[in-house]
This record gives sequence, structure tokens and C-alpha cells, in this order.
Amino acid sequence: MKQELLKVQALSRHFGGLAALNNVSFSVAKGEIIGLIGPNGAGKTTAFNVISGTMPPTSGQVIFAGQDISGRPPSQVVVSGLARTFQSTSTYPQMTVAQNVYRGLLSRLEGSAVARLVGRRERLLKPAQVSNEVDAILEMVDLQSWREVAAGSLAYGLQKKLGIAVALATRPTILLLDEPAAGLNHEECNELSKLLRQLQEQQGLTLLLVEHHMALVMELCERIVVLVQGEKIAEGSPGEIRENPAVVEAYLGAPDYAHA
Amino acid sequence: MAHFSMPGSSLGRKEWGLLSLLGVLAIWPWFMGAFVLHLAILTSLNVLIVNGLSIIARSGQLSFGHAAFAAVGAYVSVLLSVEFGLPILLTSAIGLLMAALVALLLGWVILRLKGVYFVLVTFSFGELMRLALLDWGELTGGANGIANIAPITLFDFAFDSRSRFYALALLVAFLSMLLMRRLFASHFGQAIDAVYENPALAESTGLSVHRIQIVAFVLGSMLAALGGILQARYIGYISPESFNPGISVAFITMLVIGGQRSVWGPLVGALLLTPLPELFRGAVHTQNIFYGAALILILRFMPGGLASLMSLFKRTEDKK
Repeated sequence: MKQELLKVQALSRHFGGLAALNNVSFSVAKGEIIGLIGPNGAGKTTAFNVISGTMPPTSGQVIFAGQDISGRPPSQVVVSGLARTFQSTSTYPQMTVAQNVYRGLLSRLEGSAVARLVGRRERLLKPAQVSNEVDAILEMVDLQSWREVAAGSLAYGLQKKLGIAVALATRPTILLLDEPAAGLNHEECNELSKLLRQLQEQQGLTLLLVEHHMALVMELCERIVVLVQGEKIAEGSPGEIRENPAVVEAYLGAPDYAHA
Repeated sequence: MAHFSMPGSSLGRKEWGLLSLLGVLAIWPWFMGAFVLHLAILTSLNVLIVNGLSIIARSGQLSFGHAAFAAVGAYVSVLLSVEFGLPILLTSAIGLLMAALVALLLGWVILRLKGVYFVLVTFSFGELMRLALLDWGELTGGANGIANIAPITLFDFAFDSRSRFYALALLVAFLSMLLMRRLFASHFGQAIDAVYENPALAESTGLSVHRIQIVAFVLGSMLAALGGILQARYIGYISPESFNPGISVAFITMLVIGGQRSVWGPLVGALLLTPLPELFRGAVHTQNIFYGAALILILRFMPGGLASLMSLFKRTEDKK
């Protein structure tokens, strides 16, 4: 049994009378790639937001590396090693690629006011190492040649990559990716898949991705959690999920109707 | 930071030229008599205060109660001097700390509000401060204010004439400009800009939006308080109307017209808009219409303010 890194326990989030997330539990082991899938409105993004601290849960817990992080703001959650990316591109558009990454690692700078504001954190960085660290991060996602280009003028696919780089600059142990393939063409999608695999194998990163792109999820993920209308209906390997009648029904409708 | 360039961290030749021009402009009032000197002092103090407002604005919040913090600094320091006869450095320090404390407590609660809600609450705070100063007559002198405030005396040297006080005001304004430059070239300044440009991304990379905005609010409010302290000592008189919400609006006008996203903005705004009302004393009410119109036009057509003209100029130079 691999070491458990992230544990989501009976997590619920209600918006007024609507249970966007209802009693969902799953766990992620260190080094795993887990996919969170489900049709539109299944509560994937809500789950994502609650885990990363963007909104507090109505009930239930998020345990990360043995600590209860539920209800903490994202700036605190990321300090403990859980980082996220955004569904659409999210960068500082007027800043260069390198400056974007630099801003991503600000909270790790030793002796800076920023690091003091967010409290103690591991993997602190000396100011003299900033340039090297920026290069190291850019190399991980293969963006070195775009170093001095303004983020806003990059192609969409590269901007999404930069989003991952900025998150990586916080040196997380787990990275939550919100629809990383959305808006990418076939080629970019393959490249993304290769990149994520690389991050897992070379950096020992654990990945949890919310994704619509089935082919990517099936190819990449070791385990898949399926949400439908805020509830978890299945969990298993890609093969198991493909065969699962409840999942097939959720996506395609019940066989009765399909034949009708 | 050798091969990692941060935006605006070194002075170009253009900026040195501009600086020497400013130097000449700064010395000129000493030869121009009392009125120009008076305007130069007010301008220097406004540079200081609007710099404070700019720190807050760059973190993404527009404070409509900036003058209220000048009031806190002024009233606390003056009352401590008048009532207890404490030395000026001590009363000034306590005035600054009180302003910082008020900003911290207020900021902790209201900086979670965004946009127009924050504007409304800070505006109310400014009005509340004015009413409190009016009503608390036994201590503050009410509407009559406090008159005959002694000038600043440091080591037996009294800043009791206009030309002497101008030296002090100019020095403080210069130091506040230096602070701005250093702050926004520092890691913390980058964090402030990050919070403004993309709060969700900043927050998710460990830059706590709330905490960074609190620090910016406290720091900016302290600069306002320092301005209030100096102004009280220069004019020798304070009243609730010296710091009413209209004054806060004047500071915002200077910031917006000067430029919100540039370290030069407050300087340009204060330099342009401090002398104007004094020169057009005869048209007190009509001029407000012009400021309003200027504010709207700038926001619509030049959101970077007049300071953005400088970078525009620089860019065309670079292309040559």
C-alpha cells in the first residue's frame, strides 16, 4: 500500500438548497495520477475549489499530509505543498514568462516580507538562487526559449503551460489541475500528457486532475473517481471505469432509452 | 538580481534628465517669495500623502478615507504635545503608531470587501472621523479646532519659517519617493503588484491577498499620518475640516490624474493639482467641475494617468 497523501473525507458543499458536493470521499497516494471526471454540473470544480481552499466545505474534511487543511485559504494551503492551476489561462499578462515564474516563487523567498506573511514554509529559497530556480522551473515545462516574452502574447497552449509553471514554482508535493486540456488542440494535448507524465516520474509529483478529455484521462490516470450530481458513483482503474454500467449510464443515458 | 531584471529597477538616462529638472524645480521656490514657497510646501506634503494612497491603490483597493488617517496622526501628536508637553519626536511616533493601529484594525475587517463596497466603507470612516472630532469638543476643540500649534523644533533648531519648513517638507517628500521606488522594486512590491494584477493567481501561489493588502493599507495610512503631523505643525492650526472627505477626494484626484500604476504618478498629480486651487481661489466652485471632468476624461482615455505619457515617450525613444 502506497503512502496516503491527500484524503477527502465525507466532503459536502451546499449552495443554498443545492448540494453541489454531497458526502464525497476518496484518497490520493503519493506519486499517483488521479482523475476526477463527471458530466457537466457534477461538482468537479466545486470539489476542486473546496480542496484547494478557494471555498470552505459545508461539512467534511480535507486531510493533506496528515494535516486537516479544510477551510484554510489557498495561500495557506499552498504553503503546506498543495498547489492548483486554473481552468482558463491565469497569468500576469504584462509580465514576462520568467517574471511570472518569479512571482510564483515569491512566497518561498528566505528573509522576504512575503515569506514572513504566509508563515513558515519548507523549501525556502535564497534570493541569490532565484534566477537558477526560475530556469529550473522553465526547463521542467520546456518554456526556456520564451523566457523574456510577455505572458499575454503567448499562444493559448503556452499560456496554459505557464500556468502550470507558476504553480510548480511553489514546489508543491501535489498539483491539482483544473481541466488542463481544455482548449488545446490534438498535438498540444499529447504534449501535455507527456509533460504531466514527466512531472510524475522525474519530479515525483502527485497529480489530481479534473478533466473532460476522456482519452487523456484514460491514458494518464492510474485511478479515476467519477462524480455525478455531487455524488461519487464509481472509483477504479480506467479499465474498470470504462466497463462500469453506472458510469456509462451517467454519460450516455440508460440502455433502455438508448434503444428507444 | 544580476541577470534577472525586475521591472523598473534601474534609472535610465531619460530619468536622470528628468530628475535634474525636478531638482531645479525643487530649489526654485526658495527664490520666489512667500506665496510660491507656501505652495511648494503644500505640494511636498501632498506628494508624501498621495504616495501613501498609491501604495494602497496598487494593492487593488481605493481608500476614500485617506485624509482621516492624516487626521489621526495630526490630532494624536498635537494633543499629546498640548496636553502633556511631550517632545515632538515622541508625539509624532505615537501619532504614526496610532494611525497604523487604526489602519490595522479597520483593514483587518474591511479589506475583505471589494471594489465599491470598500470605497463606501472607507468614505463612511472618513465622515465618521470628522463627526467624532466635531463632537468630542472638550478634547479636540470641536469645530474651532486647535490653534497656535508650536512649530517643529529639533535639537534647538526651529522650523518656524517657510523657507526652513520647506527644506524639511522637501526632504520628507524626497524620502517618500525613494521609499516608493525601493518598495516597488523589492520582492514585496512585486507581491503587491501581483495581488493587483491577478488576485486569484497570487492567492493560489501563497501570496495572501488579505495580508498583503493589510500591510499596504497600514503602510500607506502611516504616510498619510506623517503628512497630517507635518501639516499641523506648518499651518499651526487643525480642525475637522482640514481632513474632511473632500480632502480625501482631492488626494484620489491627484493619484488618478497623476497615474495609479507608476511611482511617478503621485508626484505628477500633486505637482499639478496642489497649486491649481490656490491660483484659482476666485473660482472655488467652478474649478471642482473641471477636476471632475478631468477625472472622468483621464479614467476614460488615459487610465495610466499623466505619468503614462512618460513611458509612452520612452517607448517611442526606444524604437528609434
